[in-house]
Amino acid sequence: MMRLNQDQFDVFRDFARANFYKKTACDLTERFPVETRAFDDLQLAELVATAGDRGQACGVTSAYDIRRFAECLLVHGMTFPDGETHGWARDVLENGKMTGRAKMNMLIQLECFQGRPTP
Amino acid sequence: MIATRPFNWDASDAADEALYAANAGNPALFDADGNRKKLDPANSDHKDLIDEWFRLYAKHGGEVEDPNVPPEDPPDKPVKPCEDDELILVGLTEWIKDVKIVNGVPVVKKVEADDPMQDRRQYINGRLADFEDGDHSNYGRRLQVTAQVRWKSGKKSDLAGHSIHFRFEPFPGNRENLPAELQHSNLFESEDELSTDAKGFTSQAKFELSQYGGDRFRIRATLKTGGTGELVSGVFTAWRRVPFTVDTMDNADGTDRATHLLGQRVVTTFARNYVELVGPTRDDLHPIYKNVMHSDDDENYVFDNSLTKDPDGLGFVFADLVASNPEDEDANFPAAKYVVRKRWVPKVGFLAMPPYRRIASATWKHFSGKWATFPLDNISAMGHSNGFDVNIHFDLSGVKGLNPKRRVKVKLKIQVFQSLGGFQNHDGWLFVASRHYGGGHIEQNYVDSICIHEAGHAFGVAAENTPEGTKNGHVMDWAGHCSNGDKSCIMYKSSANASDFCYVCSDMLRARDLKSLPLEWDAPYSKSGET
Repeated sequence: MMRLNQDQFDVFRDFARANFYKKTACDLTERFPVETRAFDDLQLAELVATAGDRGQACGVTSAYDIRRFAECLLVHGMTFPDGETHGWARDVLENGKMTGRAKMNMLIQLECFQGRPTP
Repeated sequence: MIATRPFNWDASDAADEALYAANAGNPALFDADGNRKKLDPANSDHKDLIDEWFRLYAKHGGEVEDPNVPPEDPPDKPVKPCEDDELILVGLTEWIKDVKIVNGVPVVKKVEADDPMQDRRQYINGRLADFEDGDHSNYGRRLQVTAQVRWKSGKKSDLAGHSIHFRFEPFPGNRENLPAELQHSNLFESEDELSTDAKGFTSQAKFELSQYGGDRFRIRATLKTGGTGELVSGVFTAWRRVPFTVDTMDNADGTDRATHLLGQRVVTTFARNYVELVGPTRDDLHPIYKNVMHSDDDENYVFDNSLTKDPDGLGFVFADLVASNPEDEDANFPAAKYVVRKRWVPKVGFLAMPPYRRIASATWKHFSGKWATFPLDNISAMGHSNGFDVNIHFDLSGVKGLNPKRRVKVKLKIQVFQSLGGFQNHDGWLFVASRHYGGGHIEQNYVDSICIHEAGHAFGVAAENTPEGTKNGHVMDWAGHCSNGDKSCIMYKSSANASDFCYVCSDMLRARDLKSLPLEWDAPYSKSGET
């Protein structure tokens, strides 16, 4: 078996990350054609990268959850979760007792039930 | 379960309505005044309700996923564990050739047809482009399918060279002992296995249904190399589809003379024998899709040759009376013109019992003179109650040249007509009477029997031979009538008491392909090699 040194491993890690940005950008384009119309490929990849950085800061670290964080940026604006109207999201993302997965699940539920008028 | 973005707000609204309706009065969802409360993910009392909501959301078309399935791996993890990949048999696709005429030139292209995984009737007598609805895949005896494989991982390479075994399975209860040209078959050139190409598709596996109404089949495809998996198609049932038109006889003033039309029993009787009658298929000014058989004068109704029907279908013509004149050499009416006569009442005496008789002409002479025409208006006939004996009265007044004091001889020509319930003219037109020649209306049930009987003739029953090719011992005459069961078959010569085909005629009917109508009773069941 061939062992990799740290430099070689870092190269593979960067490659994997770039691949993730590109793949997630494609996925967003397919599922959000209206919201992504104004973005080119590079801008979308940067959006995903931004989601990764901000997510990391909130304990959202998995590829699956960062993808969902990127959706939030697309749907709620590039200032998410720091905008004036994002207090409901900040309460969740800053909760130290919740895992990253649980936080992203909670955000979806809040959007489904609390974000609309009473049915 | 949890919703995926973008949310389906229609599904969300529907889920809301369903959830609140199902939980009316639940204090978790309604306040003291009966107003609805929003679901709150932070409220532990709402956990089960939220799960229920997502189930309803999915039921109404919203997309959901299990958030526990995706791993916790970060996006930059470079090493992924190797997975055992698996080849999966994903589906059967049916292909047909679609022939279109482009600028006068036939162009053949392959067209994806109906989903072969669904049950369907296979109309074995149909041909491509026979019907306007554009649905061609279920016409004809032949089926052509391909199978597709893919890797579970989604890998696009290494899809070529995998073997798939195809089997065309007849159902138990299918007709046995059919001759070779009527049997089902595989149309492979070699073994029953086909290999996949670089995209994972096999070439076409071709099969042929039997030519027997009601026989059922399905296709089974099994992956033989590189993986496991089996697909079973829907059930293909052999049927025949026959279009029909309806024409009725009108009086000169446009009112209906025919009093009956095609009853539902006709359709269901043939459906029991896997013949689907489709129609009426004509559309004209009359509200119930009937064409009209016009009268050229008060006595004779002449078949209008401008009336049309599907060349391979049936045309039911509902007339007033139907009779044949045995004096005519061609008692079944010449092809170019058909006359359906109404009874000659009240001009001369009508003799009520069959065979129906009419004084066609009369001549007279004195003892040594020459025969001269005796006017029919001067003859009246009175029938006896037994219907056969007749008193004929001759009014001699006004007949020129006749001396009533001298002996007169009168010679009568009596025309005898046979009353018929119906007949078929060997071009697929079926004539059906509405009234007895003796006067009364024929009951609807008997009219239906006449329709079934005449259509039976057009479908080639009672046939001279059985499907196996042996002589049919029940055939009565050259006209294709059946003596089976002591007059209980509807194909008996006089079918007053019968309502259905006997098992022998039914068997023969189911073996007919009904591709090109009408069929003669001695027609073969197939032309060699034709499918």
